[in-house]
Amino acid sequence: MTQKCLGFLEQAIREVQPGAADGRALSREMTLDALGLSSLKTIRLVTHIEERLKIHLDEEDLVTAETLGDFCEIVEAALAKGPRG
Amino acid sequence: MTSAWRKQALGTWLDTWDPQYCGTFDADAERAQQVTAAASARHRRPVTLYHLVLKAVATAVTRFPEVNHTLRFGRAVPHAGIPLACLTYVRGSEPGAAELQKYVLADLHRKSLGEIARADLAAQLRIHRGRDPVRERRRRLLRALPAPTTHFALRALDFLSCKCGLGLGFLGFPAEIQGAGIVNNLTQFNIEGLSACIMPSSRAPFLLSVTAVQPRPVPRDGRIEIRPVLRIFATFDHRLVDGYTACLFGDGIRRLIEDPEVLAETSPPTAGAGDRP
Repeated sequence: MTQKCLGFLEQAIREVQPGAADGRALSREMTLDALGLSSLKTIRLVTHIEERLKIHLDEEDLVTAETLGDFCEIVEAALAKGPRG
Repeated sequence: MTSAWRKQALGTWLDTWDPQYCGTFDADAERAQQVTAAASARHRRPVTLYHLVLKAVATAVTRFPEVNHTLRFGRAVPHAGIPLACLTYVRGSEPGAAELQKYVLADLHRKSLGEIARADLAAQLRIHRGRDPVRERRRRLLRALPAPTTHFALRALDFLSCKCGLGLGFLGFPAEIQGAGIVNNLTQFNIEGLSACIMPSSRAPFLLSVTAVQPRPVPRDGRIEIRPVLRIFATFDHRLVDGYTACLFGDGIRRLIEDPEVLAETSPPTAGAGDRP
């Protein structure tokens, strides 16, 4: 599940920021800083994920996430809760 | 379609007769760029120059408290803390529906750059995802107001929330978001600059527009050097801030940006760069 989530995240990140991480493959340990996402692009990424997966991502978790692995856990937790109403 | 922002603008301004003045100040951004890069690595999240400028402005306000006032019934009233208002542009689903939204971050001089980046992201997430109930109420009210009544409705809301200090959160006009100095982030645009005007209902004593760092020719030791320069366009309400204070305040911000190591610390900066002369 985690690898699938990471793959989905990578695709979403590349749609929002085509040159993210200078084109290198993304890993769970990669920090959000290394992705070079501005706050507006982060918001676009979150909105994109929520719309695609029909979920709500927890805001408090989002602002404390430091790595892509943290981000994956937030997405997986939201998926476990089920689709938004 | 007319956005809520456009209706608010048209309902607010009848003429251009208002006591505002503008200025520009440049800061060498080389060390600030190094400090934000180090802060990004330390906090493992993007910390930008805008976040550093927010902290520099809040710190400068502690040294020039006369810029931390708002007007009520002709009197300058100091704020309890140091609120700074930031603006974010929310894209609409159809042409003309984009909204300019304001959010307030308080006491940033006491926060680390990482905490400021987190608070900024949290506020923007709430607004862009429509999860800020107060702003949603404000947006709905402004959209619902018939155009001919907007000016009078805004005057009434301004009187009650700003002058009388009544919390009208149920209408989307809470008292606490009015009166804060505004720091606008224009760093994503490739523009020379933008001198903005202060919207009367914001009751802001100043409005700073922070532009992207550009390479600019700068005289140094008798030679011209190309340096990374952060340019800030400032607008002040002359009723609250006189030119002398504005110059000192602007120069204080510039010196903090050029000597930014003090801003990288978590604790509030004490004496040093940007102090009142």
